Amino acid sequence: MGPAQGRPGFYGGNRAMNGTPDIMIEITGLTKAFGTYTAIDALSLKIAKGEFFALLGASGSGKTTLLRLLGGFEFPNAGRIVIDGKDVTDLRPNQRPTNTVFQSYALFPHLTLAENVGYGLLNLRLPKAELAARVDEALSRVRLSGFGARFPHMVSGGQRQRVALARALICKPKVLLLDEPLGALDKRLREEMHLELREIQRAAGITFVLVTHDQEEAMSLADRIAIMARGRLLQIDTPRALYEAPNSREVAEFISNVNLLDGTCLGVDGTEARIAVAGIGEVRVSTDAGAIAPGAKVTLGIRPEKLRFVTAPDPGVNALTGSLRVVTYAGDRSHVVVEVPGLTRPLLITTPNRARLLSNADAVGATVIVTWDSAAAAILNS
Amino acid sequence: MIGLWHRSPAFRGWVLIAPTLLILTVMLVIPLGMLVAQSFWTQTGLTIDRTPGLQNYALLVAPEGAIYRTLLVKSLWISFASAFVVLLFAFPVAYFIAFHVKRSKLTWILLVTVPFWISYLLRIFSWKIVLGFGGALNSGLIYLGLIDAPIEALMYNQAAVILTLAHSWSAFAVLPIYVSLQKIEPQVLEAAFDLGDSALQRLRRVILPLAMPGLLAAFLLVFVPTMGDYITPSLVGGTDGVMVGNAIATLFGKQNDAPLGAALAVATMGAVAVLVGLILVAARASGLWRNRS
Amino acid sequence: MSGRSLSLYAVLYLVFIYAPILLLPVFSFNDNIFVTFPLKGFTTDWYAEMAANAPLGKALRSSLIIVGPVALISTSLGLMAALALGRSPIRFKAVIIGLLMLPLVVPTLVLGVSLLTLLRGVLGVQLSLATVAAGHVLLCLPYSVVILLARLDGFDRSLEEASLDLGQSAFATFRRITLPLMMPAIVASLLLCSVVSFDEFLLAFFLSGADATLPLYIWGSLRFPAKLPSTLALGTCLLVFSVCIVVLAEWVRRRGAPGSTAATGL
Repeated sequence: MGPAQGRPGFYGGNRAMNGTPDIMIEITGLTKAFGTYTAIDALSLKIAKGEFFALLGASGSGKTTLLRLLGGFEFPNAGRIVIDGKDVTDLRPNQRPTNTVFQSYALFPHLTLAENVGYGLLNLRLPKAELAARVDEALSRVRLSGFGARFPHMVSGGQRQRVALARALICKPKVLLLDEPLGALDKRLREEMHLELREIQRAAGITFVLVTHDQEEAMSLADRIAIMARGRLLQIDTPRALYEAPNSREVAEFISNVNLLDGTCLGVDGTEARIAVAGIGEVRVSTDAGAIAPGAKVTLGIRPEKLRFVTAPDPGVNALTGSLRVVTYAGDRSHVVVEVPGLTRPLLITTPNRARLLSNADAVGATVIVTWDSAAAAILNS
Repeated sequence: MIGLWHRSPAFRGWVLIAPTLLILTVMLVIPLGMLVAQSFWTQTGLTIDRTPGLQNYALLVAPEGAIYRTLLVKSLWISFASAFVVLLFAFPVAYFIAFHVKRSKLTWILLVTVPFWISYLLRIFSWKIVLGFGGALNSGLIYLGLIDAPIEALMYNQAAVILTLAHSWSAFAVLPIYVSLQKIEPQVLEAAFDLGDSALQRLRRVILPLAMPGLLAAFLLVFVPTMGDYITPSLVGGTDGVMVGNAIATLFGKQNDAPLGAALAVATMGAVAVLVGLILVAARASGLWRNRS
Repeated sequence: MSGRSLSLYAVLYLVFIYAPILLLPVFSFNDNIFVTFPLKGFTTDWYAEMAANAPLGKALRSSLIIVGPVALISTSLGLMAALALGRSPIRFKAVIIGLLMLPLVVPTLVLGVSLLTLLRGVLGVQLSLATVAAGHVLLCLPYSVVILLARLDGFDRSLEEASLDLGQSAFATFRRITLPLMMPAIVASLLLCSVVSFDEFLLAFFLSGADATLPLYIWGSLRFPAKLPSTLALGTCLLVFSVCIVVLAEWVRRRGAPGSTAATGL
């Protein structure tokens, strides 16, 4: 079990759970090695029924291997996988109550879209009319009615993706596994698909497990996200908790840009702790972000949007003075890089563009004051 | 067992390839091994003395073995020349089909390879018809009044062998060259022009290096088999065009000296391997062949 | 290299390739036992002689008998080997592939002699069409594996996993997905192995017993000038047959295009 799983809000997110929620997938002590390379290292995890769960990590983190282990395409060296109360560890893919949407969609090129979608129902030996009806219904659910007679090479990438989805869903699996399904789509299509996936998951109530390397995708889709690296779980939490309360530097940096300040705790005054940060002096942090022992080494993480520009700092509020180096205009907001003497890395600030300025050229080089609330920083372990 | 079949892809792989490996071992590895073993024995008359020794190899390098050495060198030369001629003539055709034919590429490929479908013997024989003393070329030229008497030098020599081999094996060269030319992205060719190359420069700097794997494959596909050919030299080579294959066949046959034949065969294969290695090294060193992954 | 001069060159090249071969039909209808110009007269006598030739008919039958089994066995073994090499994580793949390609690199003459020594000398097996067939399988294996492996490589591995995922057994997956998608390569392999076996002379020369294959028959008849014209007639028939097969294959392919070739991912 990862360190984050004891935290409040464990099953938080959009679904309100009463008491202990039903577990759909339980993984205990799973290990998978390829030769001398360990892809998954004694991993344990629980996923609730009806949850939209994401496995997020960089290449080589083991997320795809974990998904393949769930699907039955690889067998573990150690550990067990239980789906809906049944131990499936030794079962082959066609014996498990899971279905997979593959990264390349894996549509059978020699079959029509209708035959592709109906493939999972072949074993039921349904009468032709009923099979056709079910296929039509599945296609209409992904808004592809009437496309049944076409072949995969005749439709676009986005349409193929939806066929792959329909093909998997028609089998009414208990768990749907999605292996980076939206990677090949352009940005707008991807965002459309995000909405559709959410809709479908809500309507069908199926447990989704999504593998992705895209933080934004995971954050917008998932109820809970597991951050993986080097075959291990770093943190499992809701998107909000991962963003605002990451448990380590690695997680904080992986999720999004973050400003890091290293320091030592000087003491705790009530609800605030004073941290001495090398190079700039004293900084205050709210202690509801976590307990800090005096004398302990601490790393603070402050997200760029939590930093503000002021003309004059209020007393007792964290403030730093520096010079503005780069302004990157991004439409609704600007990303500003500020060099602060004493800090090894410049600060990254994201500020909304409140005024209709047509140029920032004169801002470069200017002296600015940056402030943030004591509650705005997260305390990171290592 | 069933569990292992399902759980281990490696196990499945070994089971699938086992029959093939068995055949390869029994019909290839063992016989060749026996051949190598044979090369260390001696045979007098019909009795074989199985005490191992290097006498056959010693003979091949000694003055008495000079005929075999010259034969081997001559064969290397004939095969090399044939392969080179084939490449020279096949490259423009492959280039033509790859870059200048738009719609009927496959038809052209088929046209080039159809002769391959005729019996190998008959292909060689057709050249015998053409080049022979009383053959088509001679009688045709006499009929047309261009010459008075048949030209003897047309056949039963090295040139005839090279010509016949080049004709027979040409399809083997066009295909690999065509395939590797096809793989070149058209945008790369356009980029070369964009950066200032003339057509000839582009050929030398871009097309040839990229097509090198196909060229090498084509060369080897012709060079290696023709080394062992003994039908072509028998039919059109005469005494001048004898190749090492004839000598090996005779040693195993009429001359009843299988061990020496085996030694000569081993020496031939060794010579081919060395030459192929040299060619590959030369191709790398000349900078014409850089591995693109 | 202008387009014009290249096309001219290509045409000349084709003329060079086909001219000697086209002499076969020309002289097979020529009323002259010697193959020289000028042409004497048109006759179909040689064809009649060829058709009536009993040993030729027997040799043709022998060749045809071994072609089927050789093509089937080579392709089946080649398919299994391709699946093993292309899909499974077995070690020493480079060595195995090297071994597989060895029959192409070792002179057939050497193969013939070594196999003869093994079969007759060591194993004491009687030479027959079966031994010829065995030799041909050895020769055809590399071609078969290369063709099938090339096709397998261009083949998304997830397709087979998807089929398993959707409830089909491993065997059903093979039947419904792998086999149909491999079919063009399987057909190509069967055809190529048939051609290689039908045309193969040298191994047949060493490994045949009482029954001659067609190439062996041709070799025998090349030594007798009297039999020459009927041999030319035979050659012409083979040429026409090959051309017909190629034209037929091309016609089938064109009829199937554009949808089906793309559908099978060719």
